[in-house]
Order: sequence, then C-alpha cells, then structure tokens
Amino acid sequence: MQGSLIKIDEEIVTSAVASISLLGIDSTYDVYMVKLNNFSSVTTGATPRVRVTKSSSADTTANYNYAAKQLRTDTTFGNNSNTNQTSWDILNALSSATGNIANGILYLFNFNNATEYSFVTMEITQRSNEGLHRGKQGGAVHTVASASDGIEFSMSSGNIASGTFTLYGLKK
Amino acid sequence: MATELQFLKSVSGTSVSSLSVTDCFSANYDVYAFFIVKQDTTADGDTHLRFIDSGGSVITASEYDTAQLSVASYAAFGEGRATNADRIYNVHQGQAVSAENGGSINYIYNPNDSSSYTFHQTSSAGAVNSSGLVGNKGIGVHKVAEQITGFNLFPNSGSYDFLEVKVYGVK
Repeated sequence: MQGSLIKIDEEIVTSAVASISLLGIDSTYDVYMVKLNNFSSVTTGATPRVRVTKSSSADTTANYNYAAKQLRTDTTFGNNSNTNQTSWDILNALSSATGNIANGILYLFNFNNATEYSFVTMEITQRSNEGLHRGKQGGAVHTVASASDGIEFSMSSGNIASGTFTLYGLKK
Repeated sequence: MATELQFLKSVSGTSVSSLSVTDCFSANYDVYAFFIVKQDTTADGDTHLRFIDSGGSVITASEYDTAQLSVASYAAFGEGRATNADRIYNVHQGQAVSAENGGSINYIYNPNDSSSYTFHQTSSAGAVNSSGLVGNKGIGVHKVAEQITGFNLFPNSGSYDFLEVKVYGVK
C-alpha cells in the first residue's frame, strides 16, 4: 500500500462551522478514502449528516440508504438502517465534551461515474454524546446515477465543533 | 506525487510471548495504520492489544473499552464487549495451524496527543479448525488522556512462533 494514498483535499475545523465539503473527486482515481479525526459537535446529541456533492453542492434529495452494525461496549449491538433519507446517518450522536469524538475511515466507490450510484463503506470508532464507546461498520449508497464530486459533513442541529477531514485518492 | 501513507517500521519476533512495537508514534501523524502480516501461534487464541505509555511501560490497568463483532462462514455471528478492561480484545484471529492465520488492519487515532484518548479499530480475517472463515470487526479506546508511544500484542493463550507487524503513518 505504500505509495498508494494521495491527498486530494483537507478541512481542519478549529472553530464552529455549519458544514465542510471535501471536493476534487474526478476520474483521476477509481476509489477514494476519507479519514475522520477528532470529529465533534457543538450541540450535544446532534448526529452527523453525510451527503454527496454534485457540482460542489450537497445533494439533499431523499435518495440516501444505509445499513450498519452498531458496535457498543455497554450493551447488545444494534442494526442501523434506513432508506430514502436526505442524508446518510452513519455515525452516532456527538457532543463537544472532552473525549466524545469520532474517528473513522470511509471508502468511496463509483463517485465519479455518471451511470452508477455512489457507494460508501465505513468503519467508525467513537465516543458517543453519552460518553459511551461505540462504532459502526457498514455501507451506504446514494441511488442517483450521476457523478458525485465530493462529500459533505454537517450536523442534524447546530455546528461542527472540531475535526480534521481528509480526502485521499487511491492510486490506480 | 507525494504519498500520504508512509511506512514507519516493521517489527517481528520469533518464539516470543508478546511483541512490543515501541517508539512508533510522534507528532508527525494523528492517525496510524498497522498490519499484522504474519502470525504463527503455538495455540489457538486471538491476539489482544495494549498500549505503551511515554515511560515505555505496557499499560495493563483497566483503562480500555472494547467491542468486537465476529463474522463466520460456518456459524452464527457473535459479539463481545467490555468496559474497564485491561486490554483491547481480539485484534487478530489466532490459530495453532499456521495456514489458518490470516491478516488484519488496525487503525490508531491520536496516540501522541497527551490531551486525547487513544482510539482503535480493527478488521481481520482468518480461519478456524478447517471449518471456514472467521472475521472480526472491532473498536476500542484507551480512555485516559495521555501520550502513547507504542503498542504491545499478545496471544490469549500460548505464544508466538512468529509475529510480524508493519506500521504506517496516515498523513
């Protein structure tokens, strides 16, 4: 893998913002990776919203589907899934309390392909807004056959408090 | 074009009860990936993980929360969890039959940051007793804000005939 990961875009949030977008997905690479680090929320209990971008703007149409196993350190695991949503709900709720942050890796498939849906796999390790350690393992799809040029992160309410969001291309 | 997955070190051990990967975290990266690329164990038993503090000591205190989803081709899926554990469980499948030991990728977040917890996630694949595939998806956290300089791997039972780990920084 050494030599295979090329940085495309990065957003570092150190003061509250409503959303961030990682842009620059095109035909250069077939598969892209997003690294999430220290992702936290201003509003306790707010859930991250993830959307694809079309021509640099988030697509808010109800075409987001996802399914994931929620790993929990406190109790039985759960299944999280939904269809025809206006965003992917692929992380647990966050807060700005110390340590309640999300980290994870997403892989993006077919984003640049105008005749295919945009797919995501995710592996998340995080402290939830209750201070419990949780994770998500699963996948997501945006069922619109058109090219996506990026991915946007926002919150269900309030702002993103912090985080480093990095987009990479996997060298062909 | 510069790559952002940067090889840091390879560490291996032969006939060892555990393997410590030391001095591999720095201010140069916030996120690291390590692969267990070769593992041979003397007994059936998964590999567990502990972190190493800035003094070079393996952290054995009950400071970890951990959860694992086990997926198998021959049996029902399983799940495990623990809070205030003394390790992060099952980061790699381990079998006494050499051919059944697969591979794993592990990510570690914020180890060098003395003001942050250190987060972990793993994904592994192996085989069990000729029955078929078993994989593991796991998460963990060391819930003390302190600087972490390395990590220690050890089997649930037995020892390692051989273990090799490769560590990368994700810039």
